[in-house]
Amino acid sequence: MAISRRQFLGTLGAAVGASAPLTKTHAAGRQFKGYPNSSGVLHDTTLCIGCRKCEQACNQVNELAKPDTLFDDLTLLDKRRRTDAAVYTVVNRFAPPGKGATAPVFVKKQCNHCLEPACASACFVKAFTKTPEGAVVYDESLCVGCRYCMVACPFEVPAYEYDNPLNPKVTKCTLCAPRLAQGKLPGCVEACPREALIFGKRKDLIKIARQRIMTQPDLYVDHIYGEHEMGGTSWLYIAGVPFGEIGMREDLGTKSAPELTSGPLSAVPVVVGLWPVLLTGVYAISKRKDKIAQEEKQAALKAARQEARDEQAASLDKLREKMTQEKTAAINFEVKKALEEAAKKEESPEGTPGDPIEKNTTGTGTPPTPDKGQQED
Amino acid sequence: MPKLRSFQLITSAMIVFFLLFPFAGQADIITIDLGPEQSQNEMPGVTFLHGLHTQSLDQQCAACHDEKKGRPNFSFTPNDQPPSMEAYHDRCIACHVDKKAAKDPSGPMADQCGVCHVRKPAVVSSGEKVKFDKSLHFVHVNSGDIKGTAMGDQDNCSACHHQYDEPKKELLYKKGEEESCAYCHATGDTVLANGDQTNGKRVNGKRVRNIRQASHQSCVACHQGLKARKVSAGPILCAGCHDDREQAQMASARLKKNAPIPRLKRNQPDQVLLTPWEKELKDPSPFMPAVAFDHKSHEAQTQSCQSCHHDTLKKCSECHTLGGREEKGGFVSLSKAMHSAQAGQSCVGCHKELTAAPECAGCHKRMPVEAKKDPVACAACHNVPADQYRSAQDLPRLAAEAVAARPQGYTTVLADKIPENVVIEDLSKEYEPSKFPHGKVVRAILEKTDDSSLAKTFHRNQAGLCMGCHHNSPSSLEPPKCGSCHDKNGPASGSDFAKPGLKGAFHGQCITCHQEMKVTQVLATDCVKCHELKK
Repeated sequence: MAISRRQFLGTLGAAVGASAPLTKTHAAGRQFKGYPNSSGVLHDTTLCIGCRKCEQACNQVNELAKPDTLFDDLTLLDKRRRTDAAVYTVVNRFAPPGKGATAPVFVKKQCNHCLEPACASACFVKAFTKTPEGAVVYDESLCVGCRYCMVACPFEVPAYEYDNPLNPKVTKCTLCAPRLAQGKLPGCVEACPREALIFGKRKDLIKIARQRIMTQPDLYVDHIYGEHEMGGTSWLYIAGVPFGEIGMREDLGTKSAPELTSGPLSAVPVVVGLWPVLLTGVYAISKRKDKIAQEEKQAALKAARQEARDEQAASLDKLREKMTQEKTAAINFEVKKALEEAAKKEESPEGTPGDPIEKNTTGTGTPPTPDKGQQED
Repeated sequence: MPKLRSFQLITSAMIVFFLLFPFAGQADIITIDLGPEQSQNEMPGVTFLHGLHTQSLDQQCAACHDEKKGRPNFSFTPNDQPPSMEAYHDRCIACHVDKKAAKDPSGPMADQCGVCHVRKPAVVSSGEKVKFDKSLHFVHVNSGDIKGTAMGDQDNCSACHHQYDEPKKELLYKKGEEESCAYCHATGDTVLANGDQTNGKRVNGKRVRNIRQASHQSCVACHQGLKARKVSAGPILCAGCHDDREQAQMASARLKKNAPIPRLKRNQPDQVLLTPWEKELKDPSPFMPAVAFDHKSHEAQTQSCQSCHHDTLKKCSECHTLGGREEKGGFVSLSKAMHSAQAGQSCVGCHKELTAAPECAGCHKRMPVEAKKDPVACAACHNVPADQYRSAQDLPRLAAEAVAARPQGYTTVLADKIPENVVIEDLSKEYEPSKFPHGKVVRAILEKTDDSSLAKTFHRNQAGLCMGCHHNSPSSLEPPKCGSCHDKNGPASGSDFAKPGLKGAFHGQCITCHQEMKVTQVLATDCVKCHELKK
């Protein structure tokens, strides 16, 4: 069905009108800066020696499946690994171009425990929760296995038990929330020989990071990764090389996932609820306009037809009148002639040959007499 | 696995080789680019093989370079004209056409634009900036063939050094006021209407040529003149100056092996008293002690005056005043000019750069870069109390006395005071306590710092060396245990949040030192090398 220009503009106007107040209220909305006393971990990559003790500790405290190779096999660092269903954390080795192969940089990767997690915002059954203590925890009893969290996570962290056909779960680092509850440190932090991982209140960790950057400006890049990335994460990183060179995304921006998606998502109810009404309205208005136009057209046609008819009648009348006039004139002439003849007859002997004719004419000409009278009036 | 290792080894050796010697001998490539004007043109700049042209023209500079005031003008275009596309096209192509007509090897013609104008040239210049250090300077000073031009110049300084006399509009030489070429003829790429390249700077009212034009016109022309006289002459070809190895070879061929380079003859002081006060000192009490600076020994340690004197050979305080409110000093105060850890010309900055060497970095790598704010550290330099000063005439005497009074001896710690083995058992969980070969480590560090006068001066005595590990406590032969300050329970406990925990402190000291001092026998991840696994 072709849409007329008017319809299109009308629809567009309604759409803009309906969405404008929405975006405005969203932009002026809240900005969540994280729970005030939440905990986190600071990873100083300049200290990490790549010993994989953290991986080993993680495996033990979470009672994960034993890996194929032992944790003291450091050749594994040669290939880039990611988290897995049974591996909540991995250490990768990088050789940043500026430093040369002799100065590798090791970076530990695990769930960053975002202040506003993308996984939680993508989960429609609320299986993920950001706790005020700092951890993003997962409730397997709620999970339906849609794996939207895996798609949503900008750090590619959540993994899925694909090899568990009956009750597969999404797995990721828990920040050792159960251990923290018992007053213990996260397994990896406790195991790190170099204190390249420091557990503490996130606000304190930021101060430590700042202090290190300030007192040793040659050793560190002036950036705390995770302070603002994706709205901030509980896991923070400092490094001696740009983070892009050690496999960390620098394109994430400082807005949290919910902040990015809540606008379009919160528009859903409005779109679903309001737009049918609006669009029906737009449709009705345009329909009504069509109807009015149709009616006007009909009326105009009618009027035109009437006018034509009137004109016809008028010309007929005129014609008739003209004919009547001519007839009257003829009668008058005949009468006049008759009268003159009568007058002549009075003067001369009676019984002129024209008399019977005159009587005849008079007989037929009787009806116009009133006309004549009217005319005289 | 061994095969892979050797493959890696060979590959990395080859990479290192190519990084060190990329396109050896290709310092003679010039990119002809007309600057901003060029960017509006369709064609990219021209990668010009200067060496090839010099060779095929039998080093006849005049074939391309016009003469100006009796010397070849090494900006390519005709005299008194800025470089232009037409000038290059006309001369280059005309010559190529002539050569071809004469059946000589020739270059591209007018219809072969892409041969010269190459967007991604196959060869790039490996040319370096000329490093005119003190040894190369001495080669010139020492040459009997270079004669000074000024009357009464006993040496030959006036052959190169000059000033501009504004009233007389001519160059003149003043003994004892020589400066580095680059102070006036600084880098910069403004091309004037007469074809001169300048840096936009005016010295005594005159626009000076930039260092590139000035040095080519003076150095190369002089070398050519010497060569024509068939005496020992400097390089004429690009690589002679712009290739590090060739330059070093040429300089070392003219120098006595291992002979120290004599000091420059500019009447520079042997010692200088750097005072943190202006000329008149009324009340000495509020001032830091002055610094007796051993100018002579620093001359021997640096490669050129410009290592410190970055803009002029005048006194530092001429520009860097106490308040730092002068534009000529870049608004950098005297104190900042001496202590800035970021500037290579400052005392602290230069010393910090020196501590990046592997023999120093083990301890110094993670030390805060700012000058320590403790009186003992300050006194290493600030050692002439203000109340000894009476008048400006005292300065040289005080400086000389203070430098002479510097402790010459360096007291070493007796071997029996250094524990040979220390068992580190404060923390032991998975592993047995570590048997630390303390004596061996001390001797190894001692050996590495033994011939460094910088280390000896600032460590003051060998106990100072101990402070590399036993830091942040007063220098003592019985320093407190690490656990006195570093918490067993880890970092970030309490208000001292930046202080490492005990485990971090132990591993931090050992591993940082091994990594920075390139102690490859002890790998950071080889846990059992230092402590055995508990059974």
